[in-house]
Amino acid sequence: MRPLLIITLAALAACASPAHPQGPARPTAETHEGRVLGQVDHDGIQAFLGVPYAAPPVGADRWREALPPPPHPPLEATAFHLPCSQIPLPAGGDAFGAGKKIASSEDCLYLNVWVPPRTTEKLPVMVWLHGGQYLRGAASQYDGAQLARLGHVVCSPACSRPRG
Amino acid sequence: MFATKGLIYTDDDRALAKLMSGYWGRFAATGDPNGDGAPTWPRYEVAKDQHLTIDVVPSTGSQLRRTQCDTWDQVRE
Repeated sequence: MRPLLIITLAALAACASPAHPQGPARPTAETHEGRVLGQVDHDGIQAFLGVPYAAPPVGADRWREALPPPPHPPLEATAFHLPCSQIPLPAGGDAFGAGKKIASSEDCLYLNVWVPPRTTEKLPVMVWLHGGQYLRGAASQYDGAQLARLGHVVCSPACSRPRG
Repeated sequence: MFATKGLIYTDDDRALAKLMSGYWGRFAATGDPNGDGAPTWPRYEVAKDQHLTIDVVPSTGSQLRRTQCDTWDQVRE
């Protein structure tokens, strides 16, 4: 699974560029699976949210090793995808989703990518896998915009399936 | 680091976030967290057993939690 992820990220990082020379700069990235349309924040950071990095592990693929993501039409990557299905936590503390029923899905193998303002150089890619004892957690807990801006890296938190 | 929403950040918090993001970014880019005027993070050597305490004003030290670490060092597979 990991090589897939790296390839997808490398493609995103290398190809991120404004979609149109004039008009609103809509960042687009060409991946092996298709075009991904992101958005730019007020600091110029490009964000691509909810990008699939594997095929949905559902139906016959449940509990199996993730398969490559299928090709997709141009993807509106402007919102986090749902976290993976997970056991609720009792209330108390500041852990993710404590005391709440959080919307989730088995179809959850998505990542988010933040890219510093347009540069011509290739940047290192930092992949962040959320914690949660393999029981819970979500990529959407982590906003990578600040690390992309301050660390001058492409930052990519990814969701992973709980095993518990 | 991830600018968690709903928290209130002080100037010290922001300075520390910038320092740490810089260390991480340079490490990702070059394998060395040092540079850009950041306080030097010494390369680890067993003989010196150094570490960096990352804070608004970082400091170096050595033999952090030595007793505990020595205990773990005695555990063999």
